[in-house]
Amino acid sequence: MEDTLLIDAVERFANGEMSAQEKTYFEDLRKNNPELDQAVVEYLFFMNEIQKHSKAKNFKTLSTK
Amino acid sequence: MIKSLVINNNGTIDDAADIFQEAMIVLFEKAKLEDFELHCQIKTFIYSVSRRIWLKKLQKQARYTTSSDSLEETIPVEEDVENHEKKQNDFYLMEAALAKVGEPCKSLLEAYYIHKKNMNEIAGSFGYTNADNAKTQKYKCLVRLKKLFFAQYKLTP
Repeated sequence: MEDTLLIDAVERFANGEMSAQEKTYFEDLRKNNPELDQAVVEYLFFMNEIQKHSKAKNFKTLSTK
Repeated sequence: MIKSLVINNNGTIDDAADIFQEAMIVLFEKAKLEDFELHCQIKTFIYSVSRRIWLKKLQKQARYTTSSDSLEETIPVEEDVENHEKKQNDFYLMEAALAKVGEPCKSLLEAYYIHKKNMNEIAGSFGYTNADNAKTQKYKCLVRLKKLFFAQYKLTP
């Protein structure tokens, strides 16, 4: 799977934007492909880091206004 | 209270203001936790955190000369301060990665993740012909940012 396709899938998965059918398909793919599973876990971790960063950044901007 | 703590221990009024703000952020981070419980007065917590952070700063600068006796009541806050430091560290790692990723990637990622703009708005303001192209670019930027972030992340203990 190409990187951009993978991120698109991970973002929609994380945001709950996948249909039930697509979600099942995606989860099956992960189960049967450890490399893909690892890549997904890495992206989820990284996206969580970005979310934390954006919260902190928005908070810091607020507190210095 | 914080002012006299810092000023009486080799610090300035500006240091005191910084320390106070940092302690407020630690309290804010703690208050957001689901299992948040505070078993002391807020001022005791703020004072304990401020004291811990300030003593650590002094130690780092090797300016730590006074005894660690405290006139005020304190509670153990090591864990809270450590969690906060970890968060600060992650924050600066991400800032550094964003700085290295270059433009227009930095602005594109910030518009989406920090300012929460949608892809149509982003396409419009950056001059992409459509939202899909902007989205593809955003994904490419994310791949680069992720590489930069983890390259540093793995180096820090």
